[in-house]
Amino acid sequence: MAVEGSHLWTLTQSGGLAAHASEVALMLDLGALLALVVGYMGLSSLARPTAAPLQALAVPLAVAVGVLALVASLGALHDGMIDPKTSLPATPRTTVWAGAVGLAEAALSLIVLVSLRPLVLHRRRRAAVWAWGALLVLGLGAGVAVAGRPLTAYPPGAMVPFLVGTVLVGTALALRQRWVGSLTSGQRLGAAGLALALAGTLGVLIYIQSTGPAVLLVGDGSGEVGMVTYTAALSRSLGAVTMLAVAWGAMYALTAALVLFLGLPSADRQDQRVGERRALRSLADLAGRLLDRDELATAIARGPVEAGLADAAWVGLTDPAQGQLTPVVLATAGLSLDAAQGAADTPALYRAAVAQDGPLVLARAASDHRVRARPGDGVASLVALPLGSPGTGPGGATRGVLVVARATTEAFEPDDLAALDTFAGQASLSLSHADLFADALERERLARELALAREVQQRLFPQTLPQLDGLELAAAERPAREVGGDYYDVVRLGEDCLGLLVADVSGKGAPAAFYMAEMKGIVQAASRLTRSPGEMLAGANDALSPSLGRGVFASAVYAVLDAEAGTLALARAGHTPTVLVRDAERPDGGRWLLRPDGLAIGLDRRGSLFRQTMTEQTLRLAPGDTLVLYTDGLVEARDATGEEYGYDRLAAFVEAQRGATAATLRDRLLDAHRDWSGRDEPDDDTTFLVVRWTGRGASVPAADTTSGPPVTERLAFPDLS
Amino acid sequence: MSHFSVSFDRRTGTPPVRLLALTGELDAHTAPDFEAALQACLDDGDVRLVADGSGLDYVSSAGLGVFMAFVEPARDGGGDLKIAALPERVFEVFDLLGFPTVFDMHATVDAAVEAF
Repeated sequence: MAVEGSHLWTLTQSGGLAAHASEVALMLDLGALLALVVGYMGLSSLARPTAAPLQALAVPLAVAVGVLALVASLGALHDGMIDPKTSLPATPRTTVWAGAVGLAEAALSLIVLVSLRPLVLHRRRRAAVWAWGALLVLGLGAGVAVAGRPLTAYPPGAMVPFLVGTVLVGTALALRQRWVGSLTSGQRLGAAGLALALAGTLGVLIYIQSTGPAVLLVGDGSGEVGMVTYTAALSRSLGAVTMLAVAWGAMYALTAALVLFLGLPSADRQDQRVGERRALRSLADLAGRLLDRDELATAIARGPVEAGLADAAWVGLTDPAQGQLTPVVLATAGLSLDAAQGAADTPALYRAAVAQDGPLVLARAASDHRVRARPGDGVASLVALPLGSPGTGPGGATRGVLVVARATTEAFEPDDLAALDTFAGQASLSLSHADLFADALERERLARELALAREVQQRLFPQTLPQLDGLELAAAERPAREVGGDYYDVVRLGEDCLGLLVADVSGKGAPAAFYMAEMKGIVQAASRLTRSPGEMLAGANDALSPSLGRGVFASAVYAVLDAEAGTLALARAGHTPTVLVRDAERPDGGRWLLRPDGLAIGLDRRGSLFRQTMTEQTLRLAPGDTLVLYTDGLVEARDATGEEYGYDRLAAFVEAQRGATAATLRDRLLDAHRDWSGRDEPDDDTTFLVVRWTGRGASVPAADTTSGPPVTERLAFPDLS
Repeated sequence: MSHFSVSFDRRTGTPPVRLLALTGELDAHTAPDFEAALQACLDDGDVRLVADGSGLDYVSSAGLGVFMAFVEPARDGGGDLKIAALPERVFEVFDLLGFPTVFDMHATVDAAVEAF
């Protein structure tokens, strides 16, 4: 048969042997493609997803050099032929060579694809992952399109779209060289050399197999009528796929070499660096100004997303000042608060990140028990970074977790993690600044509150004391550092009549100051309604009790001094006993503690027991009579040995100051009080009122003091008992 | 820093009486501990309570406030908060304010328990 052209052989493929061979070839082709798919998946699962760039280039280069050596020795040692009639190798040796080269090239293709994949998918984006998958499918499609076709047949038209698609997608992917940006300058040089060597080796391999010395001729020895690769002789599909893979590898390596050698800026990489810097700088700026937890959390969540380091991020913070020790998601970026709360068990991620004191990386988030996000929720890989550090503060430092997520698996590269770690460190610093600021604010608030309470107290005290003929009054208050609830007042009840009050509301600070203010209003009103001190206190109990907090009470002593009648009536609501000293020159002279029965205000809030118990003592004033109404701060002052000043010592001291004016007695009492404790500032507010009756010339007969103080006692509400 | 502790004990009876033995200084710093102890009793459904004050060294107005705050809930629940065995100096503070009029106070714990 005359052999005129390749198309003639095609026309002759009709014999039974050829038909049988075609079936075998189809099985062989599909088997080879299946083996490729299985091999790719197997190798992928073995390979580390984020291989070092130099290794990713060196491994395929080494294999390529080996395959090239094999193919070159084939070219030197053997001249194979394909029988155009059967499409089968003419000699068994050719078949053996074809088998060896085919296997070697299949292995090379797989290694090229699996090794370069991490470079192509560096900083995985959804689009890149899709494109990679498309490249594999299109390449495989090209293989399927020629499956079962004899070597001598033209490639079918169905193969064209696959080839075009492979070239387009392959080119697009070859331009993805983001990995270059993460290299050091030394690595760049090495990588450039390796990439160039790989591109060259693969290029030469393609050349010598397809048109060079190692090509397999088709013909009968009388003249060459075609050329195929040895791999194609083994399986035409395998030949097509490996050729595409090797060609793409060469293209990718060449592009990489060009980018590296020419120092071409990888634009998106540049943008990313700028973004990172901007995010870090903005956070550093914020540290100085953003002192509100919520604002800070928002800024921290936005940082990685705006810097392009993540598709979504959220921030959970503890609030130890409020007793909240489990982080609560406060801010999100790139997804809603609900979505963030639903995407993962943030407290569990927080605990894990704190436990390992560094970024917790979940490359395949969906397979982690702490992640509830479904595929497609945009949380395919995730990094949890601990925020804050154990520290001091009122209740401890704020801690928390920054969770950043990507919509693709295995999306975080080592340099991403480094940037995120730096970012989290900066964020932690900002958080501790915010804590410090909150502490300072709290201290300032307390100080302001204290100053306000002090001011309220000072304004409540009478600015001047009324003056009556025959009466001396002097008042003193020694405030403690922390404002207590001490209060005193002198109310004019008539031209010759005064109401004298000393009271003490339990508690400290602003609440005590408010109760004092309320008490002043009540006393000012109630004292004008009655001349009975017991009734006045009962009225005060009625009015004040409902507004006193749970467990808050007030003690008070109230005296009504009628200068015209020369009497003093006294009632006590749980207060310290009043000191009475009568001139020792008189037959009824002496010192006493006046302690009529009476409950503290707020102890019996319904008021019936209060009234039943309330007792008044009335004193017919004698010239020189001195009374001291005081709060417990005066008698509870402790000396260096811890001994209290006490009632008896107070009464004896007052008695010893015989003849002193009220003002002098007040000053001496203040000195004595200071001397006793040895300190300028008392532990507790100390307030007292000195009342000294000098008289109006009338002589007062001596009272009977054999069984107690010179007073008459009566129940304030006799009808109730 | 002031020292204070509350320990629980239970006296048989129907229903049983819960004893709270107080030791140390009951002041503004330690009052919350006492408050928590009383609240725990109420949460357990125990309303027959006796505060054994024999170990008390000092009581401030904040400490007195705790007794005031819990006597009503105990009485509302059909029980009482009785105060027993206060040392003289501490009793004086309660007495000055009129506590013996409002509270059921006893010289010994046994007397307080029997008073239920």
